[in-house]
Amino acid sequence: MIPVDHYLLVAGLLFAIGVVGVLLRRNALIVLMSIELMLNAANLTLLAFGRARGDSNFQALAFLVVAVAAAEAAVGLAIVVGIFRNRHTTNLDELTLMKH
Amino acid sequence: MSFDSAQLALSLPLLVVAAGGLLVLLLEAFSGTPARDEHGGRSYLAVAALITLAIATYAAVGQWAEAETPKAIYGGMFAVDRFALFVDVVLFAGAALAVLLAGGFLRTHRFEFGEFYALVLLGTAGAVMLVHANDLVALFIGLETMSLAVYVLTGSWRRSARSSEAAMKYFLVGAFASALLVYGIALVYGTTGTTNLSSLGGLAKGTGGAVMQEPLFLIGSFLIIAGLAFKIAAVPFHMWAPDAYEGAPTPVTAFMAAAVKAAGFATIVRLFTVAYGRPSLTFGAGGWASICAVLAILTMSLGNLAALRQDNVKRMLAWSSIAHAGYILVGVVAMARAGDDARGPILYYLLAYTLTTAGSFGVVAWIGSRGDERQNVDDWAGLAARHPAAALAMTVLLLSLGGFPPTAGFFAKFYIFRVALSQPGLISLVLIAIANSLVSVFYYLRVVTAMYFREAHRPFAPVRASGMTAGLIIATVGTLALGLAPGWVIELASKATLLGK
Amino acid sequence: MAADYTPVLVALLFGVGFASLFLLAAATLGPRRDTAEKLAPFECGSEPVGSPNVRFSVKFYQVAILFLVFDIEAAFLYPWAVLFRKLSCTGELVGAVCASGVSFFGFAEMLVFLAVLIVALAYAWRKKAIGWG
Repeated sequence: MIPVDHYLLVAGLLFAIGVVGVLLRRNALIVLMSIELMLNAANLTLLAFGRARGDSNFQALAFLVVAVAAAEAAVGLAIVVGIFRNRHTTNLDELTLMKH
Repeated sequence: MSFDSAQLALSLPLLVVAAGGLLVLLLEAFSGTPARDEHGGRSYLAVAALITLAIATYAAVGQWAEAETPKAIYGGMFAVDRFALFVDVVLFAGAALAVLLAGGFLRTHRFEFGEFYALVLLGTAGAVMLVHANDLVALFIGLETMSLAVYVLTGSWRRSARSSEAAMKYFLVGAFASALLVYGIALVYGTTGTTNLSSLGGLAKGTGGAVMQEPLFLIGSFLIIAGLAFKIAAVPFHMWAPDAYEGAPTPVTAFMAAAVKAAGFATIVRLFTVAYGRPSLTFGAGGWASICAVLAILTMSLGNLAALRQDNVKRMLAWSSIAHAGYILVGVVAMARAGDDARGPILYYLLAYTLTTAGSFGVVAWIGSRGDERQNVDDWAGLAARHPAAALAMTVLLLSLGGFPPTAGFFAKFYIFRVALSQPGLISLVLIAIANSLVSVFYYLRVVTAMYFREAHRPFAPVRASGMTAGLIIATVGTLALGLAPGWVIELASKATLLGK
Repeated sequence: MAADYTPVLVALLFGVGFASLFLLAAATLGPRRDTAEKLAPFECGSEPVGSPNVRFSVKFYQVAILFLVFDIEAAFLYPWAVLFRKLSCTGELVGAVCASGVSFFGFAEMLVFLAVLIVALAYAWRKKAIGWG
């Protein structure tokens, strides 16, 4: 059996990639994907710990995280469509209507 | 398993708001024409939302006596205690003010958005769940329910490019914060084997405390704190807030600044008191109280300095609301030492701040006319001569934000600073807070002097709506009343029990 | 341990080897006589019409977003189905049999869950977010 540390390492890497993506990429859709990656990293961590502890409750939490991620993606995509209609761009650096 | 009506009865405030939100959503969709050629003039939706909030308030107040001994229901996930009930009422007040402000605003700016009322109720339901959450899982679900509703509300003014832009920024930062929070929860669960706040607290007090010094646990806790710091817009996790507050439709800004922030602080208080009560976790390197002290100083100072530079009243109020988060954080730091004594002042502050800030954003919503939101401070010049009542209301609200007696804002700060001063080692923090309050007077008074001592350079055409007038009167009178008779509220707030304490 | 994976390695080698061999053989041995017909992009047998970079109707996004949400909600039906016996039994389960009384608890839970979804569906339907009308 693969030890739990390996899962945690992969999850940690995924999370780090997600964080870097959010901080460095300027396209709203890519940032959204990076956030999803972070959520998936959290899910992997949860499932790995849950399995290592023999506790199935945390599969339920993973379910909830997946559902929330879907709801978040739906709202996020709607907002991206909305902003594209208004501004014809999804580049975050061009969203500067309110910089003072 | 079978039904447990006792548990259902204890969660009545949450159930009422959630069911009301769904009903208002259906009412909106199935009444009127689906083409939506009306312009937000459907006041029956606002009435339905207000009735829901009134019933929920009645339910929460009715549980006050019973909640003197806190109860945990739904398998320990949901706490029913006076602390949560007090914040519930604050949330309902904030939501009701947002609902009252909305009708006139939607009609004036011609954006048809009947879903506003349903989303405010559903967002409030999420906030209530957040405030009652005695488990990190329930906390996460409540936080997301609240946040998703508010993201949509922020972007609801679809013709306004600012509204979309605000929603985009708020959403991306908010979702990022949620991801940090979930990962933090996963790490805390992995190291301790539980997500229940009471169990975590028990672990801290018992022999299991050693696990709380493990790096993974500390990283997880730090991520949870960071996730929540984003939600209350504490510096350096604040960069979304000025844009989101400025771009959102003003009644939504009022809801965000009042209810969302109150719910976030209530969660922080519960989390730190119940789960992280262990003294070794509070002060010292990596302790939450030390982190909060740094956040408090940064938040107050940067919030006030940035607010000084603003010519836009709405954006100035946004920065001022960031600064206020800093003052409340002083109370949170004091809580690490003073324990239960600090909870009353924090609750009083949340109530005072909710009324005041929702009211002041309300005046900002009131002054605009179609295609001209009049947000610049020059646009407010001469308001007192034309509309003395509105100018007086704004003056009272601004004085309360600045902390002048005899308004609610003065006593809110007074109680917080007093409890912080009663503890050793916090005097410098309080001095910084007082210096900040003095600085803040300048930018609040700038609007007051513009209203009273300058000539209007163009005519006013403010919103005329009875709901909005009522909302402004309630907020202003409430702010004054809380300041003139603070005793019974602080008395009530200091009797607030907290589960697991 | 590692020896268990030898067949996988062999299969991989054969797979990659044969695929490369055939591609190489086709490229070197076969004659190339290009015509306009042959060079046209092949799209599942239908004739390509216009540029692929056209703006899609926003309806596509609406349907996609709705699908995303409702699809995930359906996943909650599975854990509920697994626990249904336990939820419907007033006491403890003995094996898979409920010794004590039966309650409507599990059924009602799902009804509430579905009712919330149906409210959302009714809203989406009434707002004409479903279909192309």
